[in-house]
Amino acid sequence: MSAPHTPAPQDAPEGDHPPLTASEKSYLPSIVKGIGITLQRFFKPNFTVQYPEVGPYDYAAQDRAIGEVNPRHRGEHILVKDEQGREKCVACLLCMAACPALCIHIEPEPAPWDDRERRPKVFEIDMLRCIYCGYCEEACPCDAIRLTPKLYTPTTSRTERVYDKERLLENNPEAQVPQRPRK
Amino acid sequence: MSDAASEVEAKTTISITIDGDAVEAQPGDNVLQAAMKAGKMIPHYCWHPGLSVAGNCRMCLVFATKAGPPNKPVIACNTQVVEGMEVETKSDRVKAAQEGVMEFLLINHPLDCPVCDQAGECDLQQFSYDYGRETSPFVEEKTQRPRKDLGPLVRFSGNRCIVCTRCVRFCDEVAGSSELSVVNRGEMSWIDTFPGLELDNPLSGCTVDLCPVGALLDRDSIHTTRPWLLRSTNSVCGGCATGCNVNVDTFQDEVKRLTPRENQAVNRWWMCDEGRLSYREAHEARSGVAIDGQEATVLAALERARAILGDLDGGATVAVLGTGFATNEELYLLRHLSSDGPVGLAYRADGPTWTGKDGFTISADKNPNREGARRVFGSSDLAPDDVQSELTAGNVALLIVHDAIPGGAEWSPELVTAAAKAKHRIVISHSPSPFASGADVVFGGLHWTEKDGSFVNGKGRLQRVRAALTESGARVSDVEVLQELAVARGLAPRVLSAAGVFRKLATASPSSFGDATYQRAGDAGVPLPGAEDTVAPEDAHSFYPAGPKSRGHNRANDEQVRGSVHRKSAAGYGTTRGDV
Repeated sequence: MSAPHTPAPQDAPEGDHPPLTASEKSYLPSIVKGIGITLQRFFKPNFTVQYPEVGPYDYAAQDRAIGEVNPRHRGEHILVKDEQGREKCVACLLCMAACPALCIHIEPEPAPWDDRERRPKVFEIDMLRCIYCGYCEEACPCDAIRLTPKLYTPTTSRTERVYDKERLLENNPEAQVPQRPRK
Repeated sequence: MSDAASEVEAKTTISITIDGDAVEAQPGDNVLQAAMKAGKMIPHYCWHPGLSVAGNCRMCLVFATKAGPPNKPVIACNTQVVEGMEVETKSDRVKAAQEGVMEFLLINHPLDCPVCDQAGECDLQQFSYDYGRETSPFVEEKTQRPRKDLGPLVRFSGNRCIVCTRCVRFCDEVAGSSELSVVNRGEMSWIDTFPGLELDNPLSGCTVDLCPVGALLDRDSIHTTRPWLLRSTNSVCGGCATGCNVNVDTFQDEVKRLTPRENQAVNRWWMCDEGRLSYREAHEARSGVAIDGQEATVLAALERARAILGDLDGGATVAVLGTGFATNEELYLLRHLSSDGPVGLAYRADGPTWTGKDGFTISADKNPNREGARRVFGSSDLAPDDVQSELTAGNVALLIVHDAIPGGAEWSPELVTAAAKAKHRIVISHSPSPFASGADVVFGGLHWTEKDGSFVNGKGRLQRVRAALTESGARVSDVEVLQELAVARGLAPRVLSAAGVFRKLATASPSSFGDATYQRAGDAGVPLPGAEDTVAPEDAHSFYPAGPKSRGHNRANDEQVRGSVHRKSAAGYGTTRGDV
């Protein structure tokens, strides 16, 4: 395949193409042929997935059925809660320091509980900036932040892609976008 | 006295070798001092040049000849240098000794660096990394010691304490208040106040800076940020006429804390608690920009101010009111603008004075630049009476009020009433000002943490103030506004930087400012002609900076990290602009 911008040879003879026939000049056979292909598609199984209403196509399985996301996939973050339902995060800011995309923003505050000194007042992740590298969960000394297989949730605005603490705490990996049952 | 002894006494320096390198030491120096003056680091916790020698942390173990029995390590902090002494600080046996000491220090130290505010500027963390062992054979339970607030500014976290007693010695020897003591014995010893006492001496915050670990933490800024995120600016405290040298530590365009910066001529390694908390005024009620009482943009306000100045007659009387919080540059521009018109200066009322045991003084004069006003105007006692009488007589065409005092100066009500008689009034004010109602133009003035300029402290030392907050939003610097006014009046050809204004000031009054320049003042300040303080800038810094030795190692002063990305909220990320 030649590059599309390769210029035609300067010395190409003008009448290089064979002259068009009358039917070719009318374009009608080609149009009918094209419409035929389109009509055939109406009766074949649908390839398009109505994401995000239904889950993604499983490319790895080369299967038209809707597959599940690999459990090791690094998707959206969650903030893990402890047994008492509080965030495990102690706002040490190590994930913020480790983040190569600088997408984490935390403001610590003294914790109201006796068993720990600090907690995050603000915990925001800009999912648009995030490159899903997982360094934050690697840096975390408390296992408080994890990346789940949950896929990118589409939004209609950019501000919605900045997740705050409440959203990260409630970001349930089980609540994956609905999966269409496998055939 | 024998001949040999008098010969040693006559010698001004003592030659020793440290790790094979010849080092000239001062008589009376200890090995640690001699090494650090020669730029060689010997790790230490309990020793501090401003305090007596305690010798209890044992971290500075070295091997030295002519110091007790051979082949026995000695502590460098309590070993006097002797002519011909050979010191080894990096050999294997020294390393083994340091590793052993680190292991003992860490036995009861919790591994809670992630939640400790000292992490990032912690000497224990740094020296453990540099000199310690990776593992510890200690498997027993660590001791539990209390966590409590020792005073209004200091929180004590017992588990982290290594009982170096720096804080105890500081309270005994510098503050002179002796609230602290070591209680209990052995592994259960910790620092506590004597019963019924609180750690509330005027310098209590310095114990936090002295603490080489995270045992004493600043309650004011506790758990608000991390040291590696802070951007540090060398400046001077605007709390009183002492003019303590400080680092203004900011994050996300907010001052998080002030910490002392060493200056042997001014504050040594210390600063007072009042000054330490004075940064709060930068974030308190501020004056906005207004034209005729209506909120306006800075550009529109400047336009209006230029028009007012441009329409003034050549001989019109311009009266100015200034304060002791203005920098020399602002005061000079006020003088320049008034030409020969009446000048009034206001000051913050005097407060309590205090002198510590080592001579550290908190000045009663709570204005950082009264001496500067004296040098710029020839007198610091220019009461606003002149301005008031001229105003009452209706002679004043333009009144310029420059009120840089946080919270506002205490102007007399009569003066404020008389101000209405001025044909025009331009107000540059840090806080909402009584002169603002009815003023033609009001500018929001800067706090000293936002300013570039210079103060002259009570002892006549010129010191640089540097802008620590860069993004002051809708504000424009006072020096710039005043220069715009001077340009519009035809007094100056163009607007200069603060350094340029200072050059003009120094040229205009050489008897007051001599050959001082910003460059010469640098970080140490420079004594002005006729000053009580005569320490040259070169001599103001010793070999030992204030704060933990590891402070600043991991600072993110990277423009990108602090400036453009780590914003206050998601709305500041930039990706959201024009969205939704």
